[in-house]
Amino acid sequence: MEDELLNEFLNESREHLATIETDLLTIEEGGANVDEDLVNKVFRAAHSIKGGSGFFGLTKVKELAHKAETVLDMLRSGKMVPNAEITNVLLAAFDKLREMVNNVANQEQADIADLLVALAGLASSYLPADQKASLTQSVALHPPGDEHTTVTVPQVDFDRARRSGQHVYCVDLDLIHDIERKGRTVLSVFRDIWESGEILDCAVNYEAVGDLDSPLGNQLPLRLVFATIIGPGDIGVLIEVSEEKLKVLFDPSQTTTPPQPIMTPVAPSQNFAVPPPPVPLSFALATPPAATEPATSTKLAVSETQLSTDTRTAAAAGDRTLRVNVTLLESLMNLAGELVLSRNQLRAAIAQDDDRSLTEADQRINQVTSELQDAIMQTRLQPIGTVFGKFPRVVRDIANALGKDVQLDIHGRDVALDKSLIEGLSDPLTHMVRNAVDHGIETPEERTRAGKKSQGTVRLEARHEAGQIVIEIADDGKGLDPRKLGKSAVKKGLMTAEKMAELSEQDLFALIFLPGFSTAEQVTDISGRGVGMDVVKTNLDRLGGKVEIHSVIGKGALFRIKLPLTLAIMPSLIVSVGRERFAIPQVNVEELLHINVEDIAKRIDVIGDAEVLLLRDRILPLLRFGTLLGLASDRPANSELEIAVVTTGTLTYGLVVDAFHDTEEIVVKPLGRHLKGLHEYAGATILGDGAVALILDIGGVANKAELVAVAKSLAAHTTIEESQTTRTAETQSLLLFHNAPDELCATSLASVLRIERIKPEQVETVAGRRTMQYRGTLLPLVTLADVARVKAIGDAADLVVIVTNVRGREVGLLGAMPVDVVETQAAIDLTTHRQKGVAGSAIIGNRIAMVTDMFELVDGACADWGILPPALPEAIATGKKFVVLLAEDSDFFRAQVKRYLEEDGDAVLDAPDGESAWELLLEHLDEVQAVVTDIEMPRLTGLGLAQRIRADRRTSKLPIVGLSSLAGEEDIARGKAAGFDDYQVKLDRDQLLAWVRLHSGQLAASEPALLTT
Amino acid sequence: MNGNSHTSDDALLLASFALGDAVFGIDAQQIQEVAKVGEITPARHAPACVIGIRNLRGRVITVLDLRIRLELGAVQIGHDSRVLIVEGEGGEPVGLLVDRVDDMIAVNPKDIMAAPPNMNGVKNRNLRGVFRGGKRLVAVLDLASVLHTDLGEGLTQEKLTA
Repeated sequence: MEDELLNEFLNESREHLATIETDLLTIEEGGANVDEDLVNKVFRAAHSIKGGSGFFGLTKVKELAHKAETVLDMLRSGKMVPNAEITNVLLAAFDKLREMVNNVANQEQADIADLLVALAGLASSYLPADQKASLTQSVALHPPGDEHTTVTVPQVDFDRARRSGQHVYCVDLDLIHDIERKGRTVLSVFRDIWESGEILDCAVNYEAVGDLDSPLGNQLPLRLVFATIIGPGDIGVLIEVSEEKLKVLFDPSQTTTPPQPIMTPVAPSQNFAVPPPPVPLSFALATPPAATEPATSTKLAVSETQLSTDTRTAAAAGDRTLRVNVTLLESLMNLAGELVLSRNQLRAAIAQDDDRSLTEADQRINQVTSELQDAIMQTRLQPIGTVFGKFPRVVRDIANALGKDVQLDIHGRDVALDKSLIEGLSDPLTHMVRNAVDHGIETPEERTRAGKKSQGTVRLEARHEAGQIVIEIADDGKGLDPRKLGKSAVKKGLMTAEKMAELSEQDLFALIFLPGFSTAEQVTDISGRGVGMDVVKTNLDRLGGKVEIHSVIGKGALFRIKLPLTLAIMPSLIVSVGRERFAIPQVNVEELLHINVEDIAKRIDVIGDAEVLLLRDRILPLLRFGTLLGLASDRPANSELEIAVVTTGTLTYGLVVDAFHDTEEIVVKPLGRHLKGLHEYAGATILGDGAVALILDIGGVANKAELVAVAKSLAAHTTIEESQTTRTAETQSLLLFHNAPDELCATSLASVLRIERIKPEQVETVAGRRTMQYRGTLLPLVTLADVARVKAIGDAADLVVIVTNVRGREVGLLGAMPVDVVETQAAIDLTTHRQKGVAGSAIIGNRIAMVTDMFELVDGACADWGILPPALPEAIATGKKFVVLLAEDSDFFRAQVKRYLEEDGDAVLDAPDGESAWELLLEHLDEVQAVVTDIEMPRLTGLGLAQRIRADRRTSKLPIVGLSSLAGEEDIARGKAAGFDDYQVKLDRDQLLAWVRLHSGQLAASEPALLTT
Repeated sequence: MNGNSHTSDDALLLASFALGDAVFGIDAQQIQEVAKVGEITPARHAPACVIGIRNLRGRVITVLDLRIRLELGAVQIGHDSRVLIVEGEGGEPVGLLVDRVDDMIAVNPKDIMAAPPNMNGVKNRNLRGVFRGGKRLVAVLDLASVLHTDLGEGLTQEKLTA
């Protein structure tokens, strides 16, 4: 019983101690801006260690914890401002506590004298002279009306209780009857008290136990002195004990003036032994040598013990036990119960030979097993923060020891890994972090000389990436010099100079993983312990991890560790293509779709080469897995489709397979060396029937299929959509028409002159040129199929001619009914369907519409008709570029206008809003020759931009043209007032180009000033 | 067994097997077991000699078609075909698909002579040598070379000191 209790206490203490380092460092960082909750947390930790150790008779632990508690209380109450000195001493004290807790049997032998002196000195130095005495004094308290009972408590503790309006009680408990017989433990009583107060003292009176023959033998008296806010009337809720055993020592409500109970400063108690000479006021400055010496040596001792024992103690503390969330444990219990029930059900079913009950039992067992598995797996998952948590201390100590200034940035503490991985990572990571500080980061002087910030940064990051855990250790130090590494290897006889010359940079970096290789010119105490990166590599290999090194000399180094899937067991969806089965990790599966034959046309668009899936408001790339694998599908072409919508987090696509099977819990098996290069597979698994199935790496499959390019454009697309929801999107008027019946097309209404329905026989084809008679002239006709890879318009189609003006000449675009005009805010995707004649695509009412580019159509279809683009001005032909600054928030229009300008030989600097355009302009003051800007933009509008340009002496002369979808008289007036030279309608390519040419000075003489159309 | 067999301590036990008409041998110590072909799951996009992966008592192993590997055509899986399970780099078991497994031959390593260039049409670097005993001519394969992948993982120490 006692042992169990002690273990419980020790485990709890270790847990308290585990996070203290980080907390203390955070407190120090906060400086005067004290985070009360955090200090409180650390205080509580010290306090509960003190309380428990008193009960277990761990006197030294108690003494040290008590002193630490006092200092922490001063931090908490603002008497001290956290600084490095205080943190050092506290860290050393908690290190010692951890050491003692991990080795309780020998805690008596621990040497804590130096630490006690240091802590007491610290406390004393921050107290005004008249209060210093309180540190060493105790207070004698008497229960009212009982002068014979005297309870002595340290004055600091009493003051603290009084300050917070707590009552002080003394209770004599019988450990056996009052606690154990009531199904409680001392620790649970303690915990209850800690909820509302503090334990000031606790002692077991072993002498009072008596011998076995004595009638009172069955007792174990325990005296508890505690402080709580709970008043005597309600104390029963806290502790159930008869009234005569509980005594009130101090009641704040009855004593408004200094406490009535007689306070007699008694001789300094043994607990508060402080060296006789008064403690120096400034402990850190250390005037009297007598007191300083121990303190200094303590500090030095800290870093040394820390460096050598840190990992060992941490590992020792964590290895044997695993703390599991109670809720999780309860659900495990429930599941175990369920399992028993299911087994009974199964037995009954077998006895009765009843097929139906068998099936039911099977289903039930199946479900319970998988839930049980989940729950057990969860107990093994631990956040990597438990490893990362110790690094602030490691970095700080090494940096101090080496006189470096290093900041540690930690990201991704919450990434959860299997316990075994966490444990295995601790040592290699520690080594690499030490290396980063020791070898990577330079001294502040070196850094300043190199023109860097004097403080170096080490970044530690964990994240999930493509089914792997990635951990990065990066520093902004001097980096690795591959040549130096090579030379060192040659010098050590590891290879010849010729061999070295053949090695790539990566190979040279990898040299540091060779046994016995050390780069430090001078072996330092910190890293040069004969344990090198080769051990790190071996450890990581054992975990199945890989290390990559990236480094730029003078800039820093990055070590990237990639670890395999954390869990050996993964729920996965089994799919098949032809006769082969594959497993897709469930985490990658977003949803499963079954598309009927009649819906295929609606849901799948086949335009050009790219097949895409319309999923609600999304367009997703579609990948036929069988085609990728070169496998014949079991299904006839054009049959219904089974699509798994899969995602890697950044990339989502539809994967067409032949059939879906069950979801199975699969055990991941690694693939052999010969298959390591195949990134489309994450491993293999053995299915229920013994056959082997490959596990798909959804990201790898996408790479193999080169979906990434498509995905990028779709990602951009999503971004556009997102950003448009946050601000008023620009509305565009689109004319919708059809090409082939299943091909929806759109063109900007702004460029359309008229729309006319015509009969097929009106179209005349003479000498390969399609025309029709129109208002007394011949109207050239083009179709999208003339230029783009699309279907031809069917003969039976109900034709329309969309008459537009291209370069001053009317051209008809042939389309099919139905025709519609929509006002849309839909973003135009410029990449997925981009091809000649098609500017991009937009989703209109769940369908994909190809947006035509009339200029390209006309250039492609009627190149010889004399509707040619004007000849290039001389300056451009000779390669001298006119530089235009373009500000436009719509990605579609920006890309479109940029393309026009660039095709025309101009150089374009583009920005998505006025503010960035202005910044860009300031960067390129000497280059920009004209500004083309949209009106409505976030951050800074076109008008605002124009005003700024006009107001600045350096830019006031720049020609500015405003772009607008529709320009009313009023807008034009406002624009002119703001400083626009002109207005142009968006997408009226020729007008815009003419304007740019006009201002590039080349055509100034030949063209009249252009006005808006 | 062969008449030429030595029973001295340094005797080498060769497991002989057939690829087409030619007879090859591998140091029997390197063979963990001989298995029937079983169900092989193809691994698409893998190097040509990899015909797939297979379940070997709960382990997933890669199976190479030794004929494709040695550029001697391809094994037609039939009644006699077998998979030799050998220990590859890092202790990883690898399956080698062969047309037929013959017998064990105890030989004196001294009797293994340097292979003539292009013995049985096999590149020299894949051969340890050739053993001639009576009428038999056995090409002894160099397993490490046969199992070598060009998908190496960066620098190994052998590569440096080589």
